[in-house]
Amino acid sequence: MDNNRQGAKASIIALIVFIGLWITLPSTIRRLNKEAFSEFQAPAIQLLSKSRDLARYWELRSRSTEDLIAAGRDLARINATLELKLHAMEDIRKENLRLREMLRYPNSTEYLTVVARVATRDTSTWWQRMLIRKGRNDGIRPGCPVVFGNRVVGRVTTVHLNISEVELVTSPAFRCTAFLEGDDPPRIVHVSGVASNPFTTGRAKVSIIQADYTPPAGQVAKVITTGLGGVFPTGLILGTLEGGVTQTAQGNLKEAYMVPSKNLDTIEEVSVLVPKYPTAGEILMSPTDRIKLEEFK
Amino acid sequence: MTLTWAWLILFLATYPWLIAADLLSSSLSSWNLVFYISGLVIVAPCRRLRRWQAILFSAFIGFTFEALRPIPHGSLAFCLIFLAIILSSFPELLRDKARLRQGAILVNAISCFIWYLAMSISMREEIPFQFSSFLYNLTLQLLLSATLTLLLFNTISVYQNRVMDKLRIP
Repeated sequence: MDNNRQGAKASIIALIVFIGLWITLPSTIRRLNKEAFSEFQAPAIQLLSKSRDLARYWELRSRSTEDLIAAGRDLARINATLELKLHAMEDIRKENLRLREMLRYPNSTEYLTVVARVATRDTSTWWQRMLIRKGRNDGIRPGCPVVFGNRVVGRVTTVHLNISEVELVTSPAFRCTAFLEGDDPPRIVHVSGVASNPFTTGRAKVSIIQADYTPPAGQVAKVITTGLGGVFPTGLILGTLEGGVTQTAQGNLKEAYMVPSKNLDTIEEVSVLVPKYPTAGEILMSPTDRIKLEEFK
Repeated sequence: MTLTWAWLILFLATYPWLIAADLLSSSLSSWNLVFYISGLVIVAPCRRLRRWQAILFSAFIGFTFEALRPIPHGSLAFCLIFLAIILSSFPELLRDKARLRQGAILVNAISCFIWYLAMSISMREEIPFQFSSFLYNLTLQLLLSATLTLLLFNTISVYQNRVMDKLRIP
């Protein structure tokens, strides 16, 4: 028994020494370790998510033919309307390009859309995240905006080979600038996720609202991305204001809570907007030999 | 004679339970709680594995939990290693079934408390610290961890013991 206790003492001393070493180790080694464990888990997560999709597929297969015909008919009508809109958009795009060339105005960031299925969600007081089934192999990069239609879901934080971690708009670590609907001229406000208590809906806080702002009467004000900061394109909906706008303790500004525009607990599929060219932030953070200036131009 | 890679095989055999807990967290994501069982899964193996094997097993369990979460890297893994050293060095603490269950509740709750505390420290710049809110959320998280241990410990330990029997671990 004494030998056992002595062994335990020696093990604890060794553990303390190892923790000291771990703290002083270069962060690359810690990151490598984290990456190895993430990659180990990725196939299992993918497999589970795909099996859930398969179950859904068989569930849909059991639907009656009449239901499918009705759904197909509705889709065909929506497609026809969208096709008309697409033609109009193409004309607007061409005109926009021509005007930009005439004024020598720099082109706004162009994005490639990568559609990804949601593998798992992971929420707690400290984080609100989801894992998606697309990763580095599909061209996704850290910092890419994640959307559903024109509604913001979150931002990619970490990218692995075949999966990516997405921080949701309600996550406490999420930060973004926005405009408020009904604010004329539009002034910048700050949106940040809030640590949410168990059994409550995730929310974000909208702060630095100017004191003279009043939300439009009879409707909930939308919170819209500014396009500044180089992450989110302009005009996407972050969410809607909830429970009115209140004065801060100092009285010079206002603040409000925002609920996401899409229910993030039930979302099954998202689109990741991958910038076609490296963003200014990526160029600053990357070694010069990896991203050449010519490529950026 | 203990197999050298027994701890790894046992880890791979235990992994589906961890994934199942993650799936449960995912399905009930509106609860904003983590279905945490990483602490309870180390108790039964620590009784039978050698100390170094128990350490490696616990480290892998800890790093697996941390890998896809923004928890300060190593905080949970080292906590589990410490608990594994205690459990494998003092087997008399877990001499009967009741003690074993109490130990599992304690280990799961302590390790849950450690990662929760580590998160609150690492996020202190982003979230203003409010003691009442922290205590409320922590209590709910610990209660859930303890309840999960009560519900799942028997099943998981029987399963792990069967795997260890197959591996001929004494």
